[in-house]
Amino acid sequence: MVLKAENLVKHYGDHPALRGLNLEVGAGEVFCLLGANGAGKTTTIQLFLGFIEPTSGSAKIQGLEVRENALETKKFIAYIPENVMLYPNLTGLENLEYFTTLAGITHVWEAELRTTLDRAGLPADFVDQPVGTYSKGMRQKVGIAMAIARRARLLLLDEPTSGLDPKASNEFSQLVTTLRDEGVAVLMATHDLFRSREIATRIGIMKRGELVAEFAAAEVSHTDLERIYLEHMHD
Amino acid sequence: MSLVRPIATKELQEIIRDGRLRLLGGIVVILALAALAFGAQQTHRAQEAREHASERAEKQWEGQGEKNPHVAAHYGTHVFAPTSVATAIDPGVTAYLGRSVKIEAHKRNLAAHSAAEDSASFQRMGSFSVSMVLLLLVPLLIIALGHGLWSRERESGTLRQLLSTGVERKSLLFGKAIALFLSIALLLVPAAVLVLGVLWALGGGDASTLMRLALLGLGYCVYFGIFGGLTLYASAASGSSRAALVAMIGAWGLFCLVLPRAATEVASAARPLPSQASLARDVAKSLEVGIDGNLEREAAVEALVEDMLAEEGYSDTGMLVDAATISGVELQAEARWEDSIHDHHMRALSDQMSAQEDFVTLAGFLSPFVAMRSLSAGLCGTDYAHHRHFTEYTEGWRKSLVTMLNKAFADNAGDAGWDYKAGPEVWKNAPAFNYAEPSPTFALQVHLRSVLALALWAFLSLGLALRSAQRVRVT
Amino acid sequence: MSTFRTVLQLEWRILKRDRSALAVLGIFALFLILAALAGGHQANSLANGIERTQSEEATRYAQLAIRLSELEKSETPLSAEDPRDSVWMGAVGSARVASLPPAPLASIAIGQRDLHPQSVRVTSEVHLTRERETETPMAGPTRLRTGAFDPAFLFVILFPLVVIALSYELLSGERERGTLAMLLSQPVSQSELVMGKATARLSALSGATLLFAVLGLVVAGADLGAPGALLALCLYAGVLIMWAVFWFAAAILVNSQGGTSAKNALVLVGMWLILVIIVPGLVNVGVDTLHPPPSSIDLLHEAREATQDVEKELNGLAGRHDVDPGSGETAQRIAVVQEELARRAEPVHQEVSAQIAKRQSLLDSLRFLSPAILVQLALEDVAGSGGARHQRFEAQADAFHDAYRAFFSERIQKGVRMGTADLQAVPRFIHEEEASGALLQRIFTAMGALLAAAAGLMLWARRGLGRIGRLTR
Repeated sequence: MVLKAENLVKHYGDHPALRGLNLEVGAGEVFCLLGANGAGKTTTIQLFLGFIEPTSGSAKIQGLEVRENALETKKFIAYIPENVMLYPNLTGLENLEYFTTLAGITHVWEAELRTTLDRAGLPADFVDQPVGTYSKGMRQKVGIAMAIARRARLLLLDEPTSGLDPKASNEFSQLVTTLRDEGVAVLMATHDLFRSREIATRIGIMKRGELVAEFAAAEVSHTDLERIYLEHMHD
Repeated sequence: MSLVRPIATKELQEIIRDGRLRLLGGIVVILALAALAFGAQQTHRAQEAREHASERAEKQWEGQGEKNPHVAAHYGTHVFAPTSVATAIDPGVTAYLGRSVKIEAHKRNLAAHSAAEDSASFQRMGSFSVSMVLLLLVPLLIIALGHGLWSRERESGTLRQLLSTGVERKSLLFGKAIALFLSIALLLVPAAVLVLGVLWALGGGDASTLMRLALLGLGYCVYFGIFGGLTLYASAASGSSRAALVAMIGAWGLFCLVLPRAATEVASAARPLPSQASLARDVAKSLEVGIDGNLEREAAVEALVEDMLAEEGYSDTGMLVDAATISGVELQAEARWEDSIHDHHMRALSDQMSAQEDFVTLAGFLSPFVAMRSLSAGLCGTDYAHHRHFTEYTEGWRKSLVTMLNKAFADNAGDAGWDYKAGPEVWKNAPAFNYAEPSPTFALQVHLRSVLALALWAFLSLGLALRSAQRVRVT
Repeated sequence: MSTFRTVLQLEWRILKRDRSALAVLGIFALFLILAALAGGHQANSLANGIERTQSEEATRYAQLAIRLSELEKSETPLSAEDPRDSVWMGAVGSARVASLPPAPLASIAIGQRDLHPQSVRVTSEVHLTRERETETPMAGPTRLRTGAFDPAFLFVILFPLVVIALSYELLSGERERGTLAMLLSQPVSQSELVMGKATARLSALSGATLLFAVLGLVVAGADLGAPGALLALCLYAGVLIMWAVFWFAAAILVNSQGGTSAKNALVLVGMWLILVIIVPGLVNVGVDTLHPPPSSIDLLHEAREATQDVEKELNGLAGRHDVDPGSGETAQRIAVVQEELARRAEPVHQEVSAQIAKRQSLLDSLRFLSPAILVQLALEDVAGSGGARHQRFEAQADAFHDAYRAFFSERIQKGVRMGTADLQAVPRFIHEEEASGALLQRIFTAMGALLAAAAGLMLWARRGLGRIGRLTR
């Protein structure tokens, strides 16, 4: 398993954000986390990034405990938040180069990076423009390019398509699917039922810090998924 | 406009509830009170020291024993500059001016023994007085309190909400300005009452001092208003609270740190002063050959003696005049000659110093700090103009003392001549040294330019504050 | 290590495109050049004053030598202002000037040079107080109160604000722009990130500052080839870099606490206000209250009273216009009385010196309360306008005064006339520079204290940097 959560608990003061989450994502798998705002999706992703520490339980990446191996585990991860934030004064290429070097990929060729950006779908005439001039979709594409360039084993996506127009959203999903087919594990928090049904291998529904349902995406149709989701959201 | 009141109340509540700002305000007030305590202690000490020193000088003068009156004039005495009670608020430049003047025959001495000569070399980094807290720190406090008044409303989106209710921008502005003013007043009014109490205890209850303090209070209100207006404008015009803060701190540094130093540097290059040695050389030369260099000392003194004898009615009668009278008259003639030379050079020096001080105040049009600093020192009686007023009185007194002694020599020596000795009865006849500080009008006249500069700044900042209401962008 | 380098390189790139950072650096560089010019102007006017007195002394001595050699042959009786008359010569004719020569980097800091005499006229007169005529140009009171616009002012007071402007949003800015989460999702530790960013900014700032500091020295007309100039230059650079390191450490500490950029700016400016403006003011106040400066007025009275009876006699002689105090028996008596005067005034002087020494030692220990005081004093030391150098000069001038007086009082008491050989033998003042070891020790102490303070701040910051989660949100 690339990613594994065992009885993961997180309290913010008295408030329990996550109560005993168990989760596994293997290579070539896309796990979509659905749930209302405040259900614990972002907390889960931030625990795997090591941005916060769990109250109890374990979060492992490639068998390594995140809490104890904060730097080693990040070598496997690429993170794409709702808004990929980059240095506005630097070009897309320079941003990509910087983040790739930080990830420990030392000898990167510029041509290779250009290819990567091209693969991620960034229009060629924007590659050498400062990021300040980019649209949101372009920034998300640079985020994907970062994941490709650093050959990440695990993608942590936190509502990556929210606010994107349908075309950009579709292109983004295509890229994730391609990466999945290359054997990358993906954990994605999202509100987009339609997208998650499209690209997920498995889907989990979270409610008040718990995984209340988990099933294979192939098992349900779009309409089923919406029904199941709304059923869980009631009461 | 009736909405101004609730707006001001809400802003004031916000300012008061913010713990950081409460802390900053508290620190400023504590520093002001500590500075007041220190200033009062120093002022009290200086007053006592002056009294003590004056008594001592008087005792030395009266107890100098029997000697020729002119020899006594050489022995001389010292007089000491008074320390006004307002020094406790603003010591001005007093630490850098001599506090005592040696009085003796033939010489007009410069005031000597400034406190600064013996102080630490970093004294110029941070002097510590009530006026420095008011001039430097309170503006920073105003910036800290006010930089977000417009921009934070925009950033949190509340400005949109506010304006959608149909409230006028002007009402918002007045509400914010009043809140800012009240929050500063809340801190400073109690402190001001305490200041008045302390000054009263130091003996500053007279009408003139109260008038000076009232003008001082008014001046500082205008000064704070200037910073308040500029801060409101910066808050409206900047892209973010952060940018407003950075811009205002930059302006503060320029006004309070850079411009004062740059201005005095330029002033001292544009209106240079001589060295003491070159002044002494010039005086010595003029004493020999006159101010324009074409008068011999002997001849000039001779002419003066003739004149004086004529005045006394000796010359035409062909009367025989005794040696002592001649000596006394000669001494007096010499003194007149020397006085005219000294007066000329010292007036030139004082004029140059005043010109330098004046030149600095030009920078008041570039920095309200410079204008307020010089006005504050003027109203507290601690500027160069007051010092000059004192030294001029002192010189007049010196002349009357020396004249009195020379007259005693001329009138009483008789045949004894230089062997004649006078005693305490003559020393006690010395004219009284009764220096009185000039009126507040004097201070205002001297600092008219700074008053003007502050008024211009006040208009500018009022205009900008009014504009800020229109200028602020909603999103 | 390679991560560190990557961060460093990127930060360089960002800085180069950051217009506001470049503007801040540009304005500071401009001020620095102006301050260097102003400092150079001051240093030159001081140096010119000293030069003028020295050349005046040289021409006077040359004229005296010519007149003496003529008079020695003629054997005429003594007239007024006669160079053979040892009384007149000691008091007026052969007066010497003792000067403190400006150091090579004098334009850096004016220090107390505008308040203390840089050259004193030494005669056989006894000085009861330090009321001596000097060639140091007078300065107006407001100029004295405000202080000079010299490089030391810029470095001690404004430089920290420049550092703050370049560092207050070191981490908080990344967080507010959203890039911090992106960065920390990479295998990079926060300490590496902060150190890389801070080092890039520190090196850019130090490079620019040192360049303009040296440029400033050149435009100020400093003689960089003079002995000791190179050492002073190295110390100058060292002190400035340590001072920048201290403020970067402070900025890292403040950033490690996870506040917003606006809060960081306020906290850092508050720190600056306390360390640079308020603490030095309080130290001044503390010293003045605990050990008030010896009152010159009291000293005058003490000396006057201690010597009253002797002075009476002196004045009885000096004030009479019918006797010439410059010759014969009267002169001898005046010389004797002057000796007595000096002897009686001595204890008063010693008491004052003890008081000043007590103040000095208190100041020496209190200077560690603020790094700004340390830097100011260190820069004055580098510029040769420090208190220690001036005190040494005063002591040397006093010793020289004693030697000069001894030389003449011996001749006056014996009634010997001056000859050409005697004129040659009049003691000459030679200023002896302090050994560089003591200077090095003082400046290294200051640099060490700055470094220790910076290390303390960094240690404190480590605790905050360890807690990653708090910083990304």
